[in-house]
Amino acid sequence: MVIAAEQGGALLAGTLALPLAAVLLILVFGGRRIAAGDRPTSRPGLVAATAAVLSLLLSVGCVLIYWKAQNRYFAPELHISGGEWIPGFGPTLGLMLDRLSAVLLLLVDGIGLMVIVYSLGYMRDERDQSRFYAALLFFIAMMKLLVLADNYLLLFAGWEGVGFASYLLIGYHFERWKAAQAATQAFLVNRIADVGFLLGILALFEVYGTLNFRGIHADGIPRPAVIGIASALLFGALGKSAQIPFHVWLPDAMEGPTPVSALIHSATMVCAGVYLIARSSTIFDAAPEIGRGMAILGVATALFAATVALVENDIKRVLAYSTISQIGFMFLALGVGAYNVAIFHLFTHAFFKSLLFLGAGSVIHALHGNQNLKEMGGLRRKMPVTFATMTIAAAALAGVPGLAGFFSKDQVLDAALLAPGGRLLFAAGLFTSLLTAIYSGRLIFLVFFGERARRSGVAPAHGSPPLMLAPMLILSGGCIAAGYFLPIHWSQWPVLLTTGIAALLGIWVAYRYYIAQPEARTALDIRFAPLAKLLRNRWYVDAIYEEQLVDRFVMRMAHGATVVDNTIIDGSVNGFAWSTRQMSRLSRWIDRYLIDGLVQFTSHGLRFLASPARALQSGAVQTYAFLFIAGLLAALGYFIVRTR
Amino acid sequence: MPHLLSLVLFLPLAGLLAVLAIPTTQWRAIRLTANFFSLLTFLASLLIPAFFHIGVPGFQMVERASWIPTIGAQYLIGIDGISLLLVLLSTLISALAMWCSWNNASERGKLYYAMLLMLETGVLGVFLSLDLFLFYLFWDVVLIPMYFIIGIYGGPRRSYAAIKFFVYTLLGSVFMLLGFLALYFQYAKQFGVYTFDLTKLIQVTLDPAIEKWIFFALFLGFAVKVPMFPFHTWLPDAHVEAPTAGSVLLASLLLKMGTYGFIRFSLPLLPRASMEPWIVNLMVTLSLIAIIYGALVCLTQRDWKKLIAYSSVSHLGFCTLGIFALNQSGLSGSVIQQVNHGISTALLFLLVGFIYERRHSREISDFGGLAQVMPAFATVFAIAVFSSAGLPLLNGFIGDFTILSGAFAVNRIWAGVGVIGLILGAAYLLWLYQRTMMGPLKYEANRFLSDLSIRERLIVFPLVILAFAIGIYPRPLFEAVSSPVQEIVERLNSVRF
Repeated sequence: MVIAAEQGGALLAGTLALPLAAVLLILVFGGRRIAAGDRPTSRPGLVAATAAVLSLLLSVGCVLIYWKAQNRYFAPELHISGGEWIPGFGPTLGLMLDRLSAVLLLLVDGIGLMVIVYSLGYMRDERDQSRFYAALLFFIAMMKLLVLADNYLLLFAGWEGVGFASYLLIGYHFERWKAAQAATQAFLVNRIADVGFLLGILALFEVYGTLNFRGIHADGIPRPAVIGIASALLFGALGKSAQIPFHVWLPDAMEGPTPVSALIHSATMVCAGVYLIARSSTIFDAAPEIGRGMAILGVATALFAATVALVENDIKRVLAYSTISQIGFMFLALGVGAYNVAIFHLFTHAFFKSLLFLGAGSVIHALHGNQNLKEMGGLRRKMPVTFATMTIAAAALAGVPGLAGFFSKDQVLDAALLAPGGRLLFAAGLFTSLLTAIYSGRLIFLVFFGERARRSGVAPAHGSPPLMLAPMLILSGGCIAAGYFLPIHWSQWPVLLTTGIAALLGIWVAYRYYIAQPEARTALDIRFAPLAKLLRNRWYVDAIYEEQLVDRFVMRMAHGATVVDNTIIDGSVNGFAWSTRQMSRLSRWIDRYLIDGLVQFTSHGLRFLASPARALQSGAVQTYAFLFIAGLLAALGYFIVRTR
Repeated sequence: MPHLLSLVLFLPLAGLLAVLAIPTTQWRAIRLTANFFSLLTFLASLLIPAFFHIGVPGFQMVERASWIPTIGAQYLIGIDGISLLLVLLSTLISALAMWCSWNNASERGKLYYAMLLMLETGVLGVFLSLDLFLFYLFWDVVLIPMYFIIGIYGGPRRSYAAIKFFVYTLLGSVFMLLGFLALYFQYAKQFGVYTFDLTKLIQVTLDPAIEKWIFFALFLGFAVKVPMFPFHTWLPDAHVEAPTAGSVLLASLLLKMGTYGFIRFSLPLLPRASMEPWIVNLMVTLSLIAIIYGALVCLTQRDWKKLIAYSSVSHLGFCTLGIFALNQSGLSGSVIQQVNHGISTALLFLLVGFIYERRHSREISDFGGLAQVMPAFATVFAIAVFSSAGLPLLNGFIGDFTILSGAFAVNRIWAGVGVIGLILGAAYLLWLYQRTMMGPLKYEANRFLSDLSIRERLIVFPLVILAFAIGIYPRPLFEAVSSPVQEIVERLNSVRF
C-alpha cells in the first residue's frame, strides 16, 4: 500500500518531533532548580519517560510499516522530504528509513527508554531535573535525526547535535571542575574530527552535486576523489567513535552521570561513526586501501584499549576503555567490508555495555558515589539482581558461548580471517578477545566477590530501587537473545571454537589471579612493573596530547601570535603614530624656530634699524614741544646765519 | 510608501533633534525619546520587506534628488537583497543597543543618546547610498559619534582608543575617497558627464593598471574597517574601552561597512582587478591569516571583552574569504555570515556588558561557576557561544558552511585551512565558557550576582530567537541575497577572459 508508506514517512517526522516537543515542554514547564534540602520535582522525569514510551511506539510503528511495505511491494525504504535546508545543496530536509536505520532507530529508542526509566531512580535526588531530562531527550531526538537523515548535511546536523547533547550531559555536574573540563575536551576533540567530516561533505557535494545518499555511487568517479572522501569520512568517524588517535575524550566523558554513559557513551552516540561508514559503504567499497587502514586501526584500538582496561581501577573507566575496544572490533569488521557484521556487533554491544553501565551505576549508587574497584568487593549478596544481570552482561562481553557477544564477535573475527592478509588481524583480534575476557572477569570478581576493602567512614552498601533494576532485567534478556538475530556461521566452526575457548580461558585467568591466588597477581605485577606502569599511564597518550600538543604546540603558537600582535603589528601602528607625532613636533620646531624665526628675525632687524627713530617717538607732548621749538629755533638760526 | 527608505534613514536624525531640544536635566525624557525613535525606526524598517520584491534584479525603492549639481553628487538611495538584510540588522541592533544603556543614562546622557542616534543614521546611510559621494559622507559621519562614544563614555584608556579608531579609519577612508575620485574622473573622461551614481559608474572601462590602483585605494578604506589582518589592532582597543552599546554597534554594524564596501563597490566596479589571480590570492591569504591568527590570539586573552573583540577578527576573516571566493556560495554565505556575526557578537557583547554592570570586572579569572548563580545568563551565553562556534541548527553554521563550500569549490586548501579556524574558534569560546560559567564558584563576590533582569531578557530575546530561526530555516535570507549576488557573479564572469 503506497499510502501506508506515505503515512510511514509522516510517522518518521513524528518520531523525531515527539522528543523535541517534550524537550520544550520540560524547559517551559519543568520548574526551576530548587534549593538544597527540598525534594526535587519528579515532573520532568515523568514527562521524559512518557515521551520515551510514545517515541518508541512511534518508531516501532515506522519499522512495522516499513517491514510490511517491503515484504509486499518491495518498497526500498520509507521516505519523507521537506525541501531544502540550506539552499544550494539540494533537498536536504529528508528522512529515510531502511534496514540499517531501522536497527539503529529501535536501538536508540529502546535503550533510551530503559535509561530514562533507570534515571527516574538513579537521578531522583539531583537538584536540576529539567536540565537532565531535557538534554537526554534532546540527545534522543538528535540521534534519531542522525540515523534517519537521508543526506549527509542533515546527518551532520544530527552528528553535531548529539555532540552538543553529550557536552551538556558530560558537564551536567558543571560545578565540578573535572566534569567541566571533560565536557569541553570531548567537544573539542570531536570538533577536530568533525571538520574532517565537513570537508568530506564538501568534497561529496563537489563530486556528486548532491548530498543525498541515493545519489552517491562509485561509477566513473576519479580514484583520488574517492580516496579523499573516504579518508575524510573515516577521520570524522574515528572522532565520534573514540578510536585512535581521538580516543582520549571517552574515558574522561565518564564524568557524566552514569545513565548518560550507558546511553550516549557506550550504546548509541559513540557508535555513530560505525553507522556513518556503513551508510557510506559504496564509497568505502571503492577505496579498499582505506578499508585496510581502517581494519588495522580498528584492531590496534581494540588491543590498546583492552590492555588499559586490564589495569584501570575506576569501574566506569574500565567500561569506557572496553567500549573503545569493542568499537575497535566494529571498525575491524567495517574495514574488511563486513558492514552488516559491524552493525550486528554494534547491536549486541549496545545491550551488554549499556547493562554493564547501568549495573555499575547501581553499584556506585549503593556505595554512595564510590567508583574505585579496589574499594569494592563482596557485593553479590547485598545486590543479587545487580550481580546476576551484570554477570550476564560481562559474560556476553567476554564472549561466553551462547551469549550475544560471542556470536557477533565470532562473526567479526570470521570476516577478518577471510579478508586478504587477514591472519594477522584475526590473531590480534583473538588476543584482544582473551584480554576482554580477563578484564570482564576481573571486573565481576573485584566488585562482587571477596571481601569489601572498607575505608573508614564509608557508609554500608544499600540495594537499588526497582525502577533501576527493571531496565537491567530487561536488558539482560537482550544480552542473551540479541546474538540470535543473524544466522550462526556453523560452517566456520573452528573460529567459533577458538573464540569460545579464548573467552573461557580469559575468565579462568581472571579467576586465578583475582580469586584463587591473588598473591600470584602481586608477583606478576612486580615482574612486569614497567609494562604495568605503561598501561596505568594509558600508554602516555593523554599526557603527550596535553603537554606536547596543547601546551607546547597550540598554546605556544597562540602566545607567539599575541606577542606578534602586541609588538610588531600594533607596535608598527603605534610606531607610525609616534613617528607622525615626532614629525609634527619637528615641524613645530622648524615652524617656530626656522620659519617663524626668519619672520621674527626680519621684524627684529627692522625694529633694530628703526630703534633710533622709535626713540624719538616717545609720545610725550613736552618732548615733542621741546623738539618742535628746538627745531624751530635751529631752523631760524640757520636761516639767520645763512642770510647774513 | 514612496519615501520609506528616507523615512527609515532620517527617523534617527529626527530623534537626534528631539533629544537636543530637551534640556540636559530631563535625562529621563531624553532616554525615553531616544529609545522611542530607535524603536520607531526599527518598526518602520520592518515595512521595507513588505514593499520589497524578492528576486527582482537591480535596486528597488530608489529615491533620487539633485544635491550638489556642480560636482554631480546626488541624494540617491535604494536597496537590494544584500542591503535589505543589513538595514534590518542595523535598525534592530541599534534599538537593542539603545535599550541596553537604560541604567547607565544620567545627566551626561544627552550627548550620548544624540551620538547613538547620529550613528544609526550614519550606518543606515552607508547601507542605503547608491551615490559614492553620499556614501563617503555617511561613512565619515559614522566616525564622529563613535569617536565621542568611546572618547567620553569609555574606559580608562578611552582617549587613546578613540583617537586610534578615528585616525586609523579616517586614514583608510581618505584613500577610499581618492579611489572614488579616480573612478569619477575616469567616467567623466569617457562619457563627458560628472557623476557619483553607482549604477552609472559601473559602465566605465578602466585601464587594468588604473583599475588595480583604484582597487587598492578602496581596499585600504574597507580593510581597515572590516578589519582585515594586519589592519585590525584598533579593534581590540576600541572594543575594550567602548561602553557596551558602543561595542555592540561597532562589532555588529560598523565592521559590516567594510565587507559591504567590498561587495557593493570593489567587486562590481572593479571586476577585473577583483579577479586578478594575485590579488585574489592576497585577499584570501589575508583572510585565512585573520581566521587562524585571530583565533590564536583569542586563546591567550585574559580580558573577557578583548577575547570577543579578537574573535571578530577571526569571524570577519570568514566573511572576506567568502567574498573572494567570488562565487554564489561564497558571496551569499558571506552576506549571511555578516548578519549572523551581527547577531551572535551582539549577544556576546551584551552579556559581557551585563556582567560588567554587576561586577565591574572583565577579567576572566575573576569569574568561574557563574552558571550556579545565574542560570538564565548561562543559558543565553551558551546559545551565543555555540551560535558563534557554528553549531548546526544555530545561525553560525549556515554561514560557515556556505562560505566554506564556496571556498572549497575554488581551492580545497582554502577550505582546509579555514576549518582550522572552526576548531580554534570552538576552543577559545568553550574555554571562555568553562572558565567563567562552569566549575566551582571561585569568589564570594560572585555569589550574589543577580540573574538577568526582565529588561535584559527582553533585549536578548529577539537575538536568541533569530539565532535559532536562521539556523533552522535560513531560506528567506538566501532568497533575499540570491538575486543580487547572482548579478555580481554574472558581472564578474562577464569580464572573465
